[in-house]
Amino acid sequence: MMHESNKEIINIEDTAISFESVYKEAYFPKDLLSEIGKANMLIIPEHLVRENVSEYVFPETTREFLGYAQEKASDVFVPDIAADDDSFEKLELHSAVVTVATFIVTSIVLPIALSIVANFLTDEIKKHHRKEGELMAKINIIVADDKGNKKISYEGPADSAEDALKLAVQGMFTSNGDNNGN
Amino acid sequence: MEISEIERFLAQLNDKIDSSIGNKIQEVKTQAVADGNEHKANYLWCLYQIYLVQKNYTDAFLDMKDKKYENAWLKLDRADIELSFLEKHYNNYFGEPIGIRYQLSYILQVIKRFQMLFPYKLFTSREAIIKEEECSICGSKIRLRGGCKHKLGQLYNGEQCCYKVTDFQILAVAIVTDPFDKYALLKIEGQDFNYQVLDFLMEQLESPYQLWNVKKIKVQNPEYNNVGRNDMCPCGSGKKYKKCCMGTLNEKMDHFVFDIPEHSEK
Repeated sequence: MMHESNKEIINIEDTAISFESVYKEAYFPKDLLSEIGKANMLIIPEHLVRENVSEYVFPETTREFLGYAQEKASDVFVPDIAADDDSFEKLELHSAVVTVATFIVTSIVLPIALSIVANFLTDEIKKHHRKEGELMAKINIIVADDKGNKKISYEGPADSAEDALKLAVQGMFTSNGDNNGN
Repeated sequence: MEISEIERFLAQLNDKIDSSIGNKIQEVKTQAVADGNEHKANYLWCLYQIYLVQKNYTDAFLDMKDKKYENAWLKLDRADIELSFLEKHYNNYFGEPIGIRYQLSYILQVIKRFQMLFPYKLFTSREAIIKEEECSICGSKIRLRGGCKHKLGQLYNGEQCCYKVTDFQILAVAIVTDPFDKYALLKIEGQDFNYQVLDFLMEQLESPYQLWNVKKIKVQNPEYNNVGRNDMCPCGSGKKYKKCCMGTLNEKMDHFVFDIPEHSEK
């Protein structure tokens, strides 16, 4: 499994993933639906499949990232995570790539989510004593909108992520939106 | 030594740090905790981190002077890690960001320079699923919702909150070029690393705080000198040079240019 990255890629594609589809997933704690169902930014796991292993896991910095999101919580911005204590497991990779937890977010609060991602990555760069361009990031964001949901994937230098993501989301939901992040 | 004397000592340029300094700080911190003085205990935690950073760095320098390069590598990385723990709290207890005082910003910069000169390219890094963690302060299981109020990385009565892994599953061990911690070097049995660059530098340096700088440039690998376009490529691919490495970065190698004041540029 490749988890060292030295390229810069941004991709936008249509996706069928929605808040409603997440609530039906096997990993979703159904008994917490009334609480988690209020979230408009929801961290979701990745499905890890290896020989003898099939688990839903979160990146190792997920708790910290959730903490950043919770600091911005308000009446209009409600972050949460699609897991309970028993189901929450982290995938630890120990490489110089920060994998930001995948999340689904409504288009209305997407700007708040992007600023959280940017602040989180800025602090990760400082924490690991890396110079500009030395720390790589992997980010997957699903944006839910009435016009159809999109998945944005970024892989590249952590310090370039904010600009790349902001550029990518411009016009994403207009009728002439380009799906290649250009 | 009293704490005020230790503070003055650590603010100087010391080639060697005795472990009795650290023992004294820990002793006074234990007393501060017993006295219920959390602020003092946390301040002493920071002072102890400064001691650890300086000790690991100066010990690494001595190891390099003795050509014990693997030992030095581990200590340089340890100093970097201890500094990263300290950074979050330093301003709160010393009233300024990490900088010249206690040589901390110098140590951070020079660690990176030294690490660049080591020949280690490959490391191992575990892939694991972390299933359960507990708080190092109160021992509570870490929960997503509820749980203890201790925050990761924060100081409580002279201790930093960490999450201790209590249940995990190793999936694999990966070979990587740039892990976050660099302890697990990959070595080839029967072969040793080429430390010529470090040997050269350490002959010029007399003290861990002697000023020096280095830049890495690319130069032509001598193996590719005078290779004809239609000759077999020196890389051993079996292809002609013109179809292989010619004009690519493959025919370049790293070269270090040192700037050591009190010596001419080498």
